[in-house]
Amino acid sequence: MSASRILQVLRKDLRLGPRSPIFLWVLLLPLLITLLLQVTFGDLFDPNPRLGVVDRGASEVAAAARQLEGIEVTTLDDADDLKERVESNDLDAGLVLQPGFDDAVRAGERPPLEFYVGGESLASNRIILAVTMIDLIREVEGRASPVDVRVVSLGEAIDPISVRLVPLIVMYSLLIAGVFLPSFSLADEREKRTLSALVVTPLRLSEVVTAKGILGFILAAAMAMVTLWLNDALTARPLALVVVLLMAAVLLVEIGLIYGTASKDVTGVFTLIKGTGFLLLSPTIFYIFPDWPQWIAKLIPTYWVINPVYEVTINDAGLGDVWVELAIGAGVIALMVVPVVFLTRRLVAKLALA
Amino acid sequence: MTRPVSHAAVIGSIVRKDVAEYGRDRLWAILTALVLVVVVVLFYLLPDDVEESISIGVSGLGTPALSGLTAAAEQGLAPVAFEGEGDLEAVVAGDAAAWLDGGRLVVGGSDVDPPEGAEEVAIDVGIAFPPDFVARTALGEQSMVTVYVDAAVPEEIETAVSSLVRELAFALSGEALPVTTPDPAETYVVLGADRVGDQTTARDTFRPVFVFLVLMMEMFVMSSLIAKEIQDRTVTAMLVTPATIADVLAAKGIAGTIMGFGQAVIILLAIGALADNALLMLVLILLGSVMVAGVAMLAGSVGKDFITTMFQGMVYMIPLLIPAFAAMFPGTASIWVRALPSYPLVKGLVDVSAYGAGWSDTLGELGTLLAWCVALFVLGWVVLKRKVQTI
Repeated sequence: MSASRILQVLRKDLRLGPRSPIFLWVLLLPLLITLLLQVTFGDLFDPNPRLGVVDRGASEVAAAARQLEGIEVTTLDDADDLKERVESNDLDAGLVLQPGFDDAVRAGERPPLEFYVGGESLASNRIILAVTMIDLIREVEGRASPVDVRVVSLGEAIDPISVRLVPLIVMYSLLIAGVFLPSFSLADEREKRTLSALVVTPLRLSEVVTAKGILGFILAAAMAMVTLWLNDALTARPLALVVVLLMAAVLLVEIGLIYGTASKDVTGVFTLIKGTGFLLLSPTIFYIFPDWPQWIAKLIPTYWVINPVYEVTINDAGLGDVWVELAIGAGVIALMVVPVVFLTRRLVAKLALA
Repeated sequence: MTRPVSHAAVIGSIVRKDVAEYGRDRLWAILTALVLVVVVVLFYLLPDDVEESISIGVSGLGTPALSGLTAAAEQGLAPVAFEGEGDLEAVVAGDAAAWLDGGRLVVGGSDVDPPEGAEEVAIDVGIAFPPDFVARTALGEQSMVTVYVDAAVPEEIETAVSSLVRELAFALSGEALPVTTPDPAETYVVLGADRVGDQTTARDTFRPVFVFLVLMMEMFVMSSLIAKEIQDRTVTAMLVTPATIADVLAAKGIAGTIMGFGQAVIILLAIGALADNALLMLVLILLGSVMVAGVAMLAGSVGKDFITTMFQGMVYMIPLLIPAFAAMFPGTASIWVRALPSYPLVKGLVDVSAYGAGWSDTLGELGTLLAWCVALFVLGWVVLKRKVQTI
């Protein structure tokens, strides 16, 4: 294999590649997936009770409500608007505080409580919002509670959904750049017969495959890094981060090369990716649902490269903490070389026959 | 020598050819079957009920006070009485499990087999009242209550449970609420139809999304077949036969509509969405299929390779999918979402399948959807016609 010839092919792909929509996918999809999963599904999996407040008299209740953790508070100016939003389920509940409300509470006048809940709000959200609001009003009232409440937290906290989605998003970036790019590029060249044209030159097919792999590897590692940055998950351990990302990129590129060399055309690659993509991504689903039996994820090869990424970026692990996974991941990578070499040789033979 | 051939016969022949070609295309045949199976499996994996109550373990509280707590919280709280604080703490910590066996609570190690026929109860929050809590509070004496929470429990629930304990103590000590409520038994006024106990389930929410995904899949298939015909120039070959360009375009539109409609009906049947208002659902799906066929003509007219056509399809698909995703969230969609062509289709499907809407309730959506169908179909027709004429 000649390094200069590999570089030549790589330069050609870098020059001509951006004309292909695949390049645009590689660059845009991590952004789109981050937006879609973090903004959209983050709220869907983990919704907070939504409270609207109309405060006509600078009430302490409204100020305290805005400080509450886990409750999404929206301040509105108009009571009718609030009622409309509550009724149309844009808010779970709404509180209207008239001028002098706090003074009336302190004076023991028991002012009317204007608290509305939407018909479609969950019963659990109603009780959460109702008792929390009454408790805030009690604080304004200033009467000492007849009971002391001691809260004891037990067990291990789980990461919020926004964090649990990070491995899926990173894996998707790796998949798009590491698997899509080299496989489609190889299949496209084969379909358009430019691959046959290339191999009648001094260029060897293994060099073309290596160049495609390097391109996928560079973009996969780069886009995974960008995705982590977009998700605010870059760690303070740069060495560990680089090692785990590079390993993940290598494995995904190997899979891409297997698909690219095994398929006779682009539609074949598409079928393979559609058929197996879910399997490759599946270990990341187990982070979203920590109650599922986690050992199942370990049966999928991609687990051994994505788990170190998760541990290093989210749990701030060092290389020493993930060396077992990395060793197994390296073993998987070494094993994957066998089908890549075999399929490349088979492709050489097929092209020679054609 | 030549026998005149009607336009209907020509269109019918092209439609049959397109459907046969679709069946012969291994990629699309496999993917279509895969999408149909995955969608149905995913649908039945989704929960068919909504857990509206927070299960709370309670120890140290006698039956009357416990009933008071249950009544105060109505359906938002499901208290489960524990005999001792130790059991309660162990269950919340995950060191023990709790089962309800005919109304009796059984607590055992988390590795112990559950009693036969018993139902496991998930307790993430527990309130341990001291044994003399009711008597002491009634006498105005201060007492200490421990709230055990699993670390995974959201902050707002932890806050609300602490507030609930304080309010219970106020009530036991004879303190009235610091405010006047319109109804003595209720602190809030419900606006709109009260759906407690009858909430929209995840299956209801995802049903239109799944149907829409199948239609989108069809859009990819149809656009890919059209693009291939342009790329291979078979479409120009057809024009030297008695088929006119209008016949070819009509056939493409009809083939796309038939394939999209057929698959959507399979999905609707498989997920039991035709039980009520079947005719209305079918009309909505038919209009949706026409719209998708129009978009497929638009996307397919690019007439380039597979990747370019896929990318072109994605460009159309992403905005069209937004209303389907927006439907999964509570509340009203934003104005820009409502302006998207697929919004009336998704809204109609949601209203009919989840809220039992009828013809009169969905007239607005049907009208808007029809207008979008005509607009997109005509646009697809014009763009594809120009493309075919310029080959």
